Amino acid sequence: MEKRTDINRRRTILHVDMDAFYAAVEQLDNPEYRKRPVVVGADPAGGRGRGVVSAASYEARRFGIRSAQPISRAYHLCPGAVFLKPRFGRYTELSKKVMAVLDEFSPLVEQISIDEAFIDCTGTERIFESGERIAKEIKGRIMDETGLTASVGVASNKSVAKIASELGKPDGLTICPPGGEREFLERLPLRYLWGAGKKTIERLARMGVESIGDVAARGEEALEREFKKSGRSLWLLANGVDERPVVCTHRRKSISEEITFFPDTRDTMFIEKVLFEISDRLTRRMRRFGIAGRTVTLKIRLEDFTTFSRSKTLPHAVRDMKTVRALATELFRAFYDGEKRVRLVGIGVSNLEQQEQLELFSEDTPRDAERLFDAMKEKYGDKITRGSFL
Amino acid sequence: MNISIPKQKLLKYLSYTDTIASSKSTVPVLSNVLIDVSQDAICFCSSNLETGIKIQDKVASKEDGAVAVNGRKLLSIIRELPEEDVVFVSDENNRLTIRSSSKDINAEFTIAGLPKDDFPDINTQPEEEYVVLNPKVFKEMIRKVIFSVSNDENKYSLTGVFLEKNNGDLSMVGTDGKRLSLVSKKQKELGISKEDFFVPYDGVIIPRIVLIEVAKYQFEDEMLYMGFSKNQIFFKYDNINLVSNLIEGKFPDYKKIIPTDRERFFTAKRSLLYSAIKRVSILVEESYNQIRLKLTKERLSVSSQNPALGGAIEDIPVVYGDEDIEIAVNYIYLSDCLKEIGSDTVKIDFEDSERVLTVQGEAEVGYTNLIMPMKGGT
Repeated sequence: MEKRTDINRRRTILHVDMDAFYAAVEQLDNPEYRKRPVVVGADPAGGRGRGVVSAASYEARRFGIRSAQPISRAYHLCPGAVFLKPRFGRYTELSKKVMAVLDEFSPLVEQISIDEAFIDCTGTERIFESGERIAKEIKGRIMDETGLTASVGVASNKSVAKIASELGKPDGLTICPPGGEREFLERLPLRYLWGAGKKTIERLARMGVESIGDVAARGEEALEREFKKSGRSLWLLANGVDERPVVCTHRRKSISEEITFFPDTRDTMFIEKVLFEISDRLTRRMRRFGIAGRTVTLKIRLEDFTTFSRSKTLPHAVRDMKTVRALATELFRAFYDGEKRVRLVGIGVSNLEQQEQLELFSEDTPRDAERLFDAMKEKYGDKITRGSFL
Repeated sequence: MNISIPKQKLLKYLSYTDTIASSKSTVPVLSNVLIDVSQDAICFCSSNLETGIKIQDKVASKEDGAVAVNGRKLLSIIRELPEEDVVFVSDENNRLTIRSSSKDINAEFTIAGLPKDDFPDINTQPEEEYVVLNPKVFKEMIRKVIFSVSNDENKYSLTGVFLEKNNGDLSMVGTDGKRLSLVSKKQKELGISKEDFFVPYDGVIIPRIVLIEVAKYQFEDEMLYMGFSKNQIFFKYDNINLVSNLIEGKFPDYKKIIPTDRERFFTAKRSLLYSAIKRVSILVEESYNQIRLKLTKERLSVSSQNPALGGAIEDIPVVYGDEDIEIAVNYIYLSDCLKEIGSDTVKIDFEDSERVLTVQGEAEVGYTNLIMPMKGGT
């Protein structure tokens, strides 16, 4: 599938990353939280909370709070921080606005998460003069549209652009001039190397490699010996070479939801009820995105942290609550023997297809029951529940 | 009752009445067909409380009587009998005995029925006078819109055809919210002689089943009568009376969504496009029925893709000179209306791949289909 881009064709790639997105949205909507440490994520439950931090404002980061940290740790680092539950509906709304701004600048926009995207501006520089000008314009437009700041990296490829945006955070604009990729990366610590995982970094560190420049200096062969196939791509990335194209329509591969129990449980009635809730939330999101999937996967983590997944593939794509719930429950019953307590359950749907029939009367036609229900949930939140027939 | 009646007549009358009888009614008698014989007249009735039908005929009656019986079973029995007349005899316990008058077989069937008493009366007299319509033109109108009508009970007001009177025209509109068919005929074409012919509220929603039934009738006679009461519609043809409640609800403001200032379009030979879609759609993925229409200069490529099976592609010549574009649609929506378009050339106009398509016969006035495309896909 992946097309190799003509190496002689110099590209202008921008990476746009919203600064502490969820936390910034909360500070935007609630002026009283501005200048205060804000942590969006699971309920800290007085330091006994079990989830993780989804986002931390820059004020919170000063206390050492980072996203993906256990919420309990964040709580201990700064008990006085404002702890908030995420409001995904609102974040999605603003994310859409940001993406709409990006669409104005180039037809080649690849959204990689709710708050970041790559834009290939090759050829549009003539219209907007230079990568730097485009980046400034984009930052200004995002501020106008949403009141939020973004950091932008400009480079000749995705990997370097991503690193550049990271370097300037928050509210940054960092440019790597074409041809200067290697110098640009040279002194940066390994953790900036986008595409290198935690384990790779650990192994490199054991080899005495500290900076990206060190990786480049090791040479291709040495890295291939150590890392086999991925050695070469590592070497290329360290040299600032990345030919991956900006893929216009971002197509997600899977969609999932999970819940961590508190405390762990072996109450199957309860677990099945939770699976029901997860199916409901998950399929609602799928309908909102206009996607359906053929494979339903149940994820289950036991009290000893062993994690299992079981899946089933259907001949056709689905996105209705009933089918997803039935499959997840079936997989759960086939798997769970009640011996160990369950810590977490989740449902994922993959083999996705994005196909949606558009409607003629978009506002005033009564939708089917599921859609109506979705609209009610959007409006009133999770207070609205379906009748459960357990 | 004790009568003898030609098999073919019986089959026709019973199949018309049985379709209206409601299979899911909470009133048991309504799932039956009422056969009522009195003074050399026979009457077949059924009703689902929304729609009712009454068919009357002459019969030589040796004994009067009435009984309500399961229409489907009765039909199955009669279908299996020889072509000769069929003999019905009922007793005071509401049992109907069926025999053939043929000498060749001596089979006898007995069906337990219900008394006539609980059967609702079927009113055949509208408050407003009946008008006479040309049945051929009226049936054509039904055929041109009925496939777009929704089956979804959640969209109650879309489960019928909107019949509207504007100026000198009579229009029918069917839609399921994703596609829409609109046909208009001049009052004159329909043979409506009356100057101020009456349609309540100038527009009503007629349940789908009523028009499907009307379209089924084989009109030898050139007279179809239609009449209205405030919330009912009446049809009369030959010895058949059909009456139905109108659907109460607001039909969407369809005029608002009909594009008027379209510049991009292509034209194609109707038969070519129709058969290309038919062939290519063999391999569509059935849960989506999606085909893709890719337009390039003077060419349309129709393709389908099925991850489990494969795919198909077919190119046909079209008249098109605008930018290349690809549009995904449900092939059924397209083939349904192409089948009904009465013109050798079709014109399809559009704006982009996510806005409504308008499908029309190039030489056909008063027939428009709107189709919403699909988003995304393989």
